[in-house]
Amino acid sequence: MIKSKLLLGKYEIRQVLGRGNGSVVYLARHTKLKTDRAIKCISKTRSMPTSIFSEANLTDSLRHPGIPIIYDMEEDDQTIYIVEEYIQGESLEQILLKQESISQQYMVQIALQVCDVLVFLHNHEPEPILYQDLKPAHIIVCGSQVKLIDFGIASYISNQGTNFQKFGTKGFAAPEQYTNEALQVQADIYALGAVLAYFQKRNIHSCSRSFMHVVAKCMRHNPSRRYRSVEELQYALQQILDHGGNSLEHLFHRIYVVAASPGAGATHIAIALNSYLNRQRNNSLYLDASGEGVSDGVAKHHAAKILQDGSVSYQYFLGKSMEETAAEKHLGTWICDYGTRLEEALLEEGDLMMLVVDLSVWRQEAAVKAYQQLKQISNLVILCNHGDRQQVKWFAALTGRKVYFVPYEPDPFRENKKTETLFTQMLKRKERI
Amino acid sequence: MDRKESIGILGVQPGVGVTHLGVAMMEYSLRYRRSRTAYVELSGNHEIEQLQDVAGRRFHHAGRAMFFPNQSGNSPGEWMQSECDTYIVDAGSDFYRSKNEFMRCDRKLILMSLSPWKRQEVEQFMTYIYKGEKWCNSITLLAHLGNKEDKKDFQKRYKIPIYCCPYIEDPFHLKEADTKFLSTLF
Repeated sequence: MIKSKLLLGKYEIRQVLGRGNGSVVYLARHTKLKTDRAIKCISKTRSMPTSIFSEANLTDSLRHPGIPIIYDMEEDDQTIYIVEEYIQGESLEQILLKQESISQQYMVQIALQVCDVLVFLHNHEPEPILYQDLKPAHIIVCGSQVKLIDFGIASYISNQGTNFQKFGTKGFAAPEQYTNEALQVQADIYALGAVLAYFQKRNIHSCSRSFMHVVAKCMRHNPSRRYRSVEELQYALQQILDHGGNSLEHLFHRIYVVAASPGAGATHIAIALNSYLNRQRNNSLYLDASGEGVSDGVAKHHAAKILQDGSVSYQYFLGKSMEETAAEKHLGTWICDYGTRLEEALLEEGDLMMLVVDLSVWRQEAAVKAYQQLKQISNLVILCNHGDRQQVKWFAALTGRKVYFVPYEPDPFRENKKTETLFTQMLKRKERI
Repeated sequence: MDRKESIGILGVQPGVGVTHLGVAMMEYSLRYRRSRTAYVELSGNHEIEQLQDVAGRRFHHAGRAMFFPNQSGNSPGEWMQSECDTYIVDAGSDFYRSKNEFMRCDRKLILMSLSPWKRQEVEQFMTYIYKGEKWCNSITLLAHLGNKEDKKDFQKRYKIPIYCCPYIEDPFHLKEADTKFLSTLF
């Protein structure tokens, strides 16, 4: 390895920052510019030169406060030198090992900055980039700035290389990184969840339910059940920061509403819930999956407005058709109205499934049948829109679940204190992890 | 009661509350008018069979009640032959299926929801069915859900009166306001 104290004829070695498999990282000072740099010296005999150059070329094109700058790259017969921005800070791993406790809020702030970097990478033009190796050792906290280091296995989403290049680190890598599956952004989301879980394990008594819910959702085995994008995860983390982790209603990002029979009132309740959440500044969006043209119908009201993205706004209601893919960009809670399409709603993975039943005598059979179809869903809540309290009690006894009785309100767009009390109680009661 | 009377109820949208109103009318007819009352179901959805099972426990004076489920396509003569004086004819929401029997009713009630997302069905009904048929003066339009403004819009557009159908919380236990409203339908 290098013995001389002068690297590349212009960098004076000050100290060794770290050693890896076939590599050493030095802190060095440019003799003329008097600036510090981190120089990664990688032995050609121990590492694959093509992968080193890939990492360097990839990060060289990225300009973000959370990604170290690459200033230069050189090589000789035995060694490759990468001259990078010197980052003064500690890794999250070191912080968590050294400190007896750090607050959940501090951890969330770090996670939000990591999200910023991931959002930048995942939205990179012309091609998104997956980081693939997120772990506490690669997250450097430099005062108030967080940086990600070591892009050794980062790759463009369309060019993920061979399997062994995408393994990541055990304990933080997503399950799909060990298969032949093409990776999506959910792999990085999983890893960030694993980092949060790493913190949670050491601070179990100080983590709120909201925080635990976020961790659990990031780390779901099935990628399609995790947050759909880092922006969604970011929103959830921001809610924890803003509300101290106490507002459970903000955890529900996907609420599905289905009816046991026509006229039970699923659309009515979905609209009322959407309006309620928007009054609470939740930024909720109603999505019409019932096939009945609900949003189009509301759009024809003389006081309704059609917004630039095609959504319909009327009083506190904001909605669009489920088919419009632009909905994916919307953060905040989605209220998906499936009408009587139970089979379709069953295919979805939401945070909450609401079954609206009509418990009138002649509709009870349909209510029971609908419940039988949905009973395996653990996050199912039942709302009774028609029927009396005796029938509600009967159905609750039959299903073994709480059944919420919905107060009568002919206009779902209008504020109704009783309905709002019900929604508040319902959303807070159901603690979803 | 001297002669038989039939009151048909048709819904513009599925699930708008035809059966709910029909059951309330039946309870009113049995209890307050003390009429032998039949419930005739034309929609074919078999909901009335469930009602029939519990009639004895739910209706007042259920002894005077009779039920005729799934009568669409049958000649009215068959169920009109019964000893009842009043017939509540539940035409469901499929006009063309129930048309013959519904149009023969002495009184015809058309029930609709004026909620903004249900407007298209209302427009289709008013354009193709209401304007396309020869109705006589025995028709009454009823609306529930939606607000006063929706009702005003409707009347302005179609130039016909429409009456508010109040929410009847329990069709088997009628309150004073319910009976007041129901009395106007007979």
